[in-house]
Amino acid sequence: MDGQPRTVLVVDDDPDFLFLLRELLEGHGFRTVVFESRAAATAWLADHRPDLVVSDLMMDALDAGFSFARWVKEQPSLAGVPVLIVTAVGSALGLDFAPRTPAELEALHADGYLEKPVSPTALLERIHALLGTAGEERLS
Amino acid sequence: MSDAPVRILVADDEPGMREGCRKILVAEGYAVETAADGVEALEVFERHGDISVVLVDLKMPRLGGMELIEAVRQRDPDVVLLVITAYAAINTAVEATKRGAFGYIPKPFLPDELLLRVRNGLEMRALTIEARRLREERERRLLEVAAERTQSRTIIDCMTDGVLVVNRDRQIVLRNAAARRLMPEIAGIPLPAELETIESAEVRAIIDETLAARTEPQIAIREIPLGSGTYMVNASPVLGSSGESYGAVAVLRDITALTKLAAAKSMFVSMVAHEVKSPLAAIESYLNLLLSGTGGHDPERDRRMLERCMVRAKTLRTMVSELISLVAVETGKFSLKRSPLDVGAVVAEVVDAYKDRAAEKNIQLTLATLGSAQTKVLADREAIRSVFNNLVDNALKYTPAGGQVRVAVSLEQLSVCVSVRDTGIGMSPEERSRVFDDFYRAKNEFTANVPGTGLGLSLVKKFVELHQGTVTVQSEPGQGSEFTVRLPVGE
Repeated sequence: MDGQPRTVLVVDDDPDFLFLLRELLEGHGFRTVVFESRAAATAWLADHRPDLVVSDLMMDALDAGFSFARWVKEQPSLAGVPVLIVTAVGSALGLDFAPRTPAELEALHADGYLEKPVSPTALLERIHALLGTAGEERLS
Repeated sequence: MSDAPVRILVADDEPGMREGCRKILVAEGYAVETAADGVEALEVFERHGDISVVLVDLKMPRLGGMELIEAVRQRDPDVVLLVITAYAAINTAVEATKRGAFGYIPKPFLPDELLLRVRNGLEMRALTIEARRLREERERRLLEVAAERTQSRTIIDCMTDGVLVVNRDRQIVLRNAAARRLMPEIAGIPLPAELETIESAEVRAIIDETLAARTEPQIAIREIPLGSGTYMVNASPVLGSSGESYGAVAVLRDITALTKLAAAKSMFVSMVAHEVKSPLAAIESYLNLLLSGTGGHDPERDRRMLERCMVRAKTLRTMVSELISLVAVETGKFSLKRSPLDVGAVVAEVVDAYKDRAAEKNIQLTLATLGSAQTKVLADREAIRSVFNNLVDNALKYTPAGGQVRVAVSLEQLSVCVSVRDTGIGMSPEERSRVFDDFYRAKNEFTANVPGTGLGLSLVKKFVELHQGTVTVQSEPGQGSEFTVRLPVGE
C-alpha cells in the first residue's frame, strides 16, 4: 500500500449520479474525475490513465456505455484498466443487456455490470474487487 | 297427357275423310279441328296455337299439302305432321317426310292404324320435347356453374388476404391475386406447380405441416416475414366429406401495421419504465448514501442531496400527471371544457408567473401584444394554460443566463397567434423534427443538466390540436428557437 489514492473516471449523463459517485468514492479515499459525456471523457483519457472506469450505459446512444468500454479496451495506453458498467436501463427497454456469464461480460468489453440504484456497499465491494484492493480500505 | 286434351287438326278437302278421322279421334279423347283446304288449315292452326298433330291431305285446293307442311313446320318444329295419302302417291309422301312430315298413312286405313300413327307421333314429340328440355336445362346449369365458378374466383381474387391451395402431391393448384403479389415467383407460372416454387421456407413449412397432419385436421397459425412486411399465415387441411385430406389451404394476412403498432406500444411502455426508473434510482441512491453515513454528516452536503431528491421526485410527479393527460388525450377521454377564453390574458398570466424564474436566471422575459388584439377563442382554460406554461418553461430552461425570451400575441385573419422566441441553444434539424415526439429530449452538454420528462411538447401539440390549432417550430443550433401556436378564433 503506497497510500496513493486510486483514480476513478466516471461517465454518466445524469448529473445526480456523477455527484453521488463522487461523494461516495471520495468519501472512501478515491480520487474521481467525472464527465457528462463520452466525448469529454475520451478527450481527458488521451493523456491520463485512471485506475478504473465507471460508465453509464444509455447516454447519447442506447448502448453508449458498451461502445465506450470497447474504445477504452482498444487504447494501448489504457491496457488493463477495468471498466464497470452501472445502469438504470437494465432490461427496461426490452433490450436485455445484463450479461449472465463472464464470457458475455467480456463480449461487452466490460469487467463488471451493476444496475442502479446501487447500494454503496455493493458498489465499493465491486470496485475493490476490480482493483484487486479488497480489504485494503479496512487495513489503511 | 296433361289436363287439356291433345288437339288435332285434320286438313282434307274430302268431307267424308275429315268426318271419319274426326269421329275416330274424338272417340279416343282427342280434341279435333278440321279444315277443307291449306289456307283454312293454317288459319285454324294459328287461331288455336295448341295443335300438336296435323293430318294433311297432300292434294288440297288453294294451299297444297306440301306448302302447308312447310308453313306449319316453320311455326312449330314440334308439331306432329302426318301425311294421308293414296298408295299411288307414295313417292310424294316420301318427299313430304323429307320436308318435315313425321310419317304417312296410306289410304285407305283402319281406325287403329290412324290411332297408332298418331300415338307414335305424339310419343316422338314428347320425347323430343323432353330431350330438348333436358338439354336446355343442362346447358343452363352449366352456365350457372360456370358463373358460380367465375364468381367464387372473383371473390377469392378480390380478397386482400393471399390464398394458396396445395394438393396432397405438394402442388399449388390455386393462388389468388394477393398471393401472386406477395409471392411474385408463383405469379406467372402455370398450375399445378411444385410447392418448391415458393421462395419462403416458412410458407412451405407451414403447408407441409398441415399436409402431414392428414388424420387429425390441424390449423397452424404463424407470423412470418414476407417481402417487406409481416404476415400471419393460417393453414388448414382441405377435407373431403368423409374426412379425408385433399390438401391444404393457406391464408396469408398482412399484419405489418399491427406488428408495428405492437412494437410501438412496447417501446412506449419501455420508455415509460426507463424514464420512471432513472429518477427513482437517483432518489434511492441519494437516500442510500445519506443513510449509510458515508463521508460523514456534512449538513450542507446532506441538504444538497435532499434538494436533488426533491427535484427528481417533482420531475417524476410531473411526468406521471403528463402521462395521465397524454393517455387521456390519446384515448379520447380528455374532455375539453370549452368556454370563451381570452388567450392574450392567459398568456399574460403565464408570463407574469415566470417573471421571478427569469430574473433568477438573468433572462429578459417580455410580452408584446400587437395591436388591440381581440384574442377570444373557444377553449379549455387549463389546457391552454398548460400549453403556454410548457412553452415559456422550455424557453427559460434552454436559454443560458443573459438571454432573452420574447412572447408575442397577435391576431391573424382567423386565428390568434402566440409565439415564444428565445435566444437559447437552438436545435439541429434532427432535433427539430422530433421535438414533439413522446419522451424525446435533445441530449447534449447543455441539456444534460435540464430536468424534463420529454412529454411537455408532446402534450402541447396534442392540446393545441384538440383545439383545431397548430404549433410550429423554427430553430437553428445556437440561434435560439421560436415556437408558434395558432388557435382558431371562436364565433
